[in-house]
Amino acid sequence: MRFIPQHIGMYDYIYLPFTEIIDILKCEMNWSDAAGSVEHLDCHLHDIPFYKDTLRIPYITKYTFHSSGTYPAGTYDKGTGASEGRS
Amino acid sequence: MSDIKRCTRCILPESLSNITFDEEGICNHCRKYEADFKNWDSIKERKFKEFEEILEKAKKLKRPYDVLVPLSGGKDSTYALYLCTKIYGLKTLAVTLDNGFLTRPAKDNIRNALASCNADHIFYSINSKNSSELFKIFTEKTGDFCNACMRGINYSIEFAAKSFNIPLVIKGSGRRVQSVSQIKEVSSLNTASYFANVIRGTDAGNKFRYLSADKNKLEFQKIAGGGSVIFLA
Ligand SMILES: [Zn+2]
Repeated sequence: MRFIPQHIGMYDYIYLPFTEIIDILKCEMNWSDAAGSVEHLDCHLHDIPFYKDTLRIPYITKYTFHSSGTYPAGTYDKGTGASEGRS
Repeated sequence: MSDIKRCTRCILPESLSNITFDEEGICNHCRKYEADFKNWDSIKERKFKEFEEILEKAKKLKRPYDVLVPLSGGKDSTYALYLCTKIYGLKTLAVTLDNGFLTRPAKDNIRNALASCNADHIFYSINSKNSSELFKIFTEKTGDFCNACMRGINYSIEFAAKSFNIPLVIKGSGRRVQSVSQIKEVSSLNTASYFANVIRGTDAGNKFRYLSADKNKLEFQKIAGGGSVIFLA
């Protein structure tokens, strides 16, 4: 029979606020946010698609889609977003 | 500050095509999110139980590895690795694709995370000269190169899962927290067939044709919320 692994996204089953996750990772996995950003620190080209969105769609900043995804899930709040200049 | 209309919940602007707002000023994407995911607080206990049941099933199969974790060195995939190894004690294979542009902090985090747990690891590194060539073709033909990289990641997951007969892949992601990135205006096409169509007839055609192989068809499974076909082997 054909082999198909189950393929799941962890956050659909289990969720902690990301600040708690960062604390755990620093302590347990010797993880570092290096340049001070905890988002997408893994790829040198990461900013390009977000820059492209700002060219493609008026009133979009490089933060918009990330922020918009986190508000409905309750994982970020607009006060924090506004204070960081993210919209 | 512009006076453009925005969703009162998620701040998406009216400049996004296909966005609509209801009488409360809430956008169609937020309403879809509500319909799809409801109130997390009301379902989180059940989802957590489901998660543990899935892990138990995988363990019982007694395969060489219980779980595969795609590891980029970012916080989410490292947290998935932490859960699998240090909380649930699963036999874990981590898999990293270096697309030629993996950052030094990410590489450090990968090394540190592996030293902090007992997972084995496969590091598949595409030479940046080759990936640059591929990304150039993708950008010229489609305006985007992330899909090329996503195909590489999926391929390395499929390859490792098949090779070691691993029954479960846990990604550091989730539809619930990434709903916006799945809306049509920003979502990615990363299927093998899309990849094959883009590189056909280009210089990258021969070099990267292997990435078009989709024998395991991970992309056709539902990514989250369970419901995918499991444990057929
Ligand atoms: Zn909204």
